Amino acid sequence: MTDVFFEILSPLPLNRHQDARRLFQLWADNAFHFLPNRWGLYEPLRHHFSLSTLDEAIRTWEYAYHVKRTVSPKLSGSIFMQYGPHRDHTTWTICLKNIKDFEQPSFCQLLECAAAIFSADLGFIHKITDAEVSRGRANGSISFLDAAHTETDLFIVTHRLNKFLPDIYWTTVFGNPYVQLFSRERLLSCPAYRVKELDNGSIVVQLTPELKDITAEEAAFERVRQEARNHLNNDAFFDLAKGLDYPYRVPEFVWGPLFH
Amino acid sequence: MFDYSFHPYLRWLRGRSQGDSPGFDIDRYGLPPQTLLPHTGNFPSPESQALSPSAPSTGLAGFMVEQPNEVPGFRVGQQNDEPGRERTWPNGMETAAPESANIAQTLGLPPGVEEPDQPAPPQLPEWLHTVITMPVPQLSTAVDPRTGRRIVPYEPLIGPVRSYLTTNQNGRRSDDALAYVEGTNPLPDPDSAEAPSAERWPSSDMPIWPADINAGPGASTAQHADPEPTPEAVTRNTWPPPPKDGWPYPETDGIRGEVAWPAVVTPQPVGVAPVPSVGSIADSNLILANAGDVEEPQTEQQMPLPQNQPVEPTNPVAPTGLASRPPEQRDEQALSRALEDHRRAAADQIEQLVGTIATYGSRVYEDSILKAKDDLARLAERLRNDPGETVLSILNSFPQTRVEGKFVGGLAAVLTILANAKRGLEFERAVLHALSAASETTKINKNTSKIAVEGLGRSVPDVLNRGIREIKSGVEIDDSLQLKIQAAYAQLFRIPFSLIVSPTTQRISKSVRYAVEKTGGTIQRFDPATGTFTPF
Repeated sequence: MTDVFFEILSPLPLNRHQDARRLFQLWADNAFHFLPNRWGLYEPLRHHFSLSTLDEAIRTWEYAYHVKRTVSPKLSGSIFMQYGPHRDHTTWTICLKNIKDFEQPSFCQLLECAAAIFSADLGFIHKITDAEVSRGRANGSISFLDAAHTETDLFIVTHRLNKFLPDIYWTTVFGNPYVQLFSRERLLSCPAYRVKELDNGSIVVQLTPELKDITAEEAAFERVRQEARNHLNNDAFFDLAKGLDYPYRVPEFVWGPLFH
Repeated sequence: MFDYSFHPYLRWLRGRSQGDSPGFDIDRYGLPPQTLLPHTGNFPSPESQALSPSAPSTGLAGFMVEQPNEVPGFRVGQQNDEPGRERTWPNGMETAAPESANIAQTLGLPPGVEEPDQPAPPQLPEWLHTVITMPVPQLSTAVDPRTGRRIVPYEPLIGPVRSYLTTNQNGRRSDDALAYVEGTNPLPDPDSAEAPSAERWPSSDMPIWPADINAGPGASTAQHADPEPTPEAVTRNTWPPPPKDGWPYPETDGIRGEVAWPAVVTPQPVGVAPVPSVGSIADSNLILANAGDVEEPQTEQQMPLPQNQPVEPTNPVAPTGLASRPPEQRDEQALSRALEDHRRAAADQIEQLVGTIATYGSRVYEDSILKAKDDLARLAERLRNDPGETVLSILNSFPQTRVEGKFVGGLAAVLTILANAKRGLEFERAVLHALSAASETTKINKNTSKIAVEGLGRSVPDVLNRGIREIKSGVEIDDSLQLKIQAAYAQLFRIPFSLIVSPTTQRISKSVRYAVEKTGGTIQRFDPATGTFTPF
């Protein structure tokens, strides 16, 4: 069961060892207590992870890299790098098991820094609400991980963004493609608890003061969320009524240089 | 120089020279006879002897003829530890002449070589007359330890060496030459050879070698007055043929047949001025092993003969006409002998190599193939005798395994795995059947092709048709290496990677879901009962 989802979608390949060092250094600088202690290329993750043995841990840094933290605060994470000749976003996800372990300043800082450093096109911190599951499942961003449909998962990938923007989340970082899509002014004027423009031009929109507001006042959160979507909506967000095949407005992503 | 220890040629050479046959053993250093080195086992290679530059002015240095261990014959090289044997040589052997006179008459001389005096019509000297008229020695009763045959003159070594001899062309009977081919060392460098002269060799009536036979370089230098050396050697085929009327040499314990015609190589410069034979011998560095110092009393130089050995007559044939042999022919002889020696060495090495390979192959066969065969045979026997217990012991040999989240061990684990495998195969068949039924145009069969991703490995997806589809019926599906390979392959080629799970599948790993999602694939649940696919 995952409560908090953190994801960065970067157009950079991030498939170099220096990218890996940078990523984990960023992780340590902003959310040190949430550093993983296991890593692996496939499950089960058996290798011990620590910054002191980072070189050994990232010796094979290719395609997908999985980490997890087996002690409190428990979390799991994945880095799917760009792989092969085809371009899509590098995704960095952190899934915190329990919302009680969530440290908002750390994660928010990590999100903003990562979005700035890795030139993220999109980033978010979110907790799935019951109200959005059906919509999320419809657009493919949310799925169940178990047969009982109790464990939901939020994951956004490039081929979804090429069709629509699934939603706006508790904290969302709009990168340059979306700033151009929505316009900077519209994003900065979004009705939200906090709107911040980063140094690289990305804009952070935080809907409510705290993440736990989602569960505490889910209906209120959904209202704010709907208002923000309506404010920004430029026929870019997924709409259940329009469906998957509707030609939404999507940005054109600019891919960074490919390093191999 | 040539290292004895690694050269099979030497093994052959030594074995022949010391053991079973008469022959010659050449000192590797080419030292003058006075430097009597012990036999070190190092010998010059055939090439070096036959083709190397000339020896120093010592000329014939290093060629010592000594007696083989058991048989009379010539041997080049010193063995100080056996002086007595050296002295057992009959004098006649010491004076074995290098060539018969008739050869000198039949062969042309090389350019620049002074025409030797043509031999006068045969006029037997008195000593020769004595020899000829003496009664034929009794037949030897000695037996060759190798062949078990009785040793008779010229006979024993004819057969074994005939095939190797290619250089006996100058009138000597082939039998004579063949008698010691194997026991001889290759010829020395023809360039360093000094032209033999009949006068240099002691006449057969000389009872002993001259005292100054070990003369130093000064004496040899006198022989090199002519700056243009002529390759000349006293070879086996330069020795005179045995008298037709019988064995001229005394029997030495019945092993006279082992007396080999010496293959002593005596390099001589071309155009050596004729010198008296005694002086020539004295100046030469060629020393027969049984040749003593002339200053020593003669009684000390001549070892007492065996009791059954009569006093031998000397070699009645005078060494004449040695210089008449064409140098080209001697070169060819030396070369062919060197080649022959090389051939022998190569054959020995090949033989050793084949033996080594055979030994290795035998070990591999015994240690691996036979062992595995034995193990399987034992297992089959156990299964035949007590199948139940054997199967149980095999199953119990499996380690404790986690199956469906629970640790089970031994037979239970194996049975669970087998049951799961059976269930998985049935589910897989059902899925394939449903996919084929759903596809109107393409029949979807089980894929057997491997996909490979560099750095990760290879895998065989269940379905490789318009993407990768893996059929899983496990309770929990984690991001295994198999799935990672398939997902990476799909990512590389931008094809969807999808999962089809069974109704029993309870949970899917987040990583698996991400991998599927990244490629645009899906996770479907197939219900065999209804034959329908639904999103997980």
